[in-house]
Amino acid sequence: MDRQYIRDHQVIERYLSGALTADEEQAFEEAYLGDAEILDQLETAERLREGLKGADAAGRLERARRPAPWRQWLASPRYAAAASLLLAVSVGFSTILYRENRTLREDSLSSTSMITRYVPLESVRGGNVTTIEAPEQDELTVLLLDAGIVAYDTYRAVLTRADGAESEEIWRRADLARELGETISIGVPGRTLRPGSYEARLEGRMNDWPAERFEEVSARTPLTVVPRD
Amino acid sequence: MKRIGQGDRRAEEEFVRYYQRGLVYLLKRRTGDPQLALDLAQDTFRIAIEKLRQSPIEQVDRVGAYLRGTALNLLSADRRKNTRRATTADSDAVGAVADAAAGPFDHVSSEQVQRVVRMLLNELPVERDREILIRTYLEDQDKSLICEALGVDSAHYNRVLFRAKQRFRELVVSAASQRGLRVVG
Repeated sequence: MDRQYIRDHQVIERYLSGALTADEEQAFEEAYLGDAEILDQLETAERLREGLKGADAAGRLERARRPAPWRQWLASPRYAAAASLLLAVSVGFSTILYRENRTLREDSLSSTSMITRYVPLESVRGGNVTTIEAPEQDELTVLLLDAGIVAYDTYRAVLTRADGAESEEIWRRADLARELGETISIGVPGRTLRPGSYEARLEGRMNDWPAERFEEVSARTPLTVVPRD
Repeated sequence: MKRIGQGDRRAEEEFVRYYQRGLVYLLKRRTGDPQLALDLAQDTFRIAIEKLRQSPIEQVDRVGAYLRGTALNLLSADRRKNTRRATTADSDAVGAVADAAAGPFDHVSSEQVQRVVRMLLNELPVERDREILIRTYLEDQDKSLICEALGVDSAHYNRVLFRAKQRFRELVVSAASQRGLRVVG
């Protein structure tokens, strides 16, 4: 182990913190036994380390304020990558569950006279607008909204109908809860969804917030209802 | 090594002087006991000189490995509470170990070192360089993580650490000299 390797691989500092592998430790100890310069650096680093730890423990070290470790972690590219991956996996998993549930429910519904339609709404910006045929008057349309990453205590869903430049709130429901940790389901009566353009909005709030405070959970999700064939 | 094989006592002294500081440091780290470290170092040198008198080690760069191996074997034996060999050295050179093994930092107090550390940090003009020292020595962070977090390259990191250690050593030596303490090394 030569000096270049020792410098480039932070060997002295890792030796002092006990982080070298057994082979590295042996090679480094054999190297510094007969090398006064490496030994000088080692002793200096050791006392510097002890001095810093001692001064810090005695409260005599002025340290720049840094965000808490968890905030640094949240701000790191690694977190973003991990969160993206987790989101992708959970969306895939939810889709599988949703399809399985729909199949099961269709099977069970076939034995009854109820008509219910489940519509997962795309909340990703830039995604395709979900289009459905207008439901029957007595049909229940369940819209599945992405509940986002942050978990709120309760949710409020609002459905608006766009009519030209104006929009009209046609349906609202509060005190909703997450299902499977991923989605919020809202059941809209068929008579409400006439052909036209709609927009679903999901808002969340924590229990200790003021009564009127809500935060928008995700991008607004458009829905187009077209006449039945 | 050949001169030791020929019975040259001065060569033995040079041999001990050359390796003793590193060997005592190694044993202090392993034992945490300065006196035991000195005893084991003496025993190691005695065994090594006996061997070198009989059959010189051909490759000089293997001497460190031989000394380390012998020292750690003696330490293991000591820990197993086996009887260590008698520490009465049959060489004048081995007897000098205890006197000359002290490093330059053995003559300053922890309080002085802490004061010097604060001086050193105050001397560093760039907050990022102070952060490098703190993350390295106080938080034992990995070099690659530090470089990534602070946006510096490996060369800059090496430079900061090298200069900081150099300056720290100067400040310690200066502080010890001002108090009239003997600084060795």
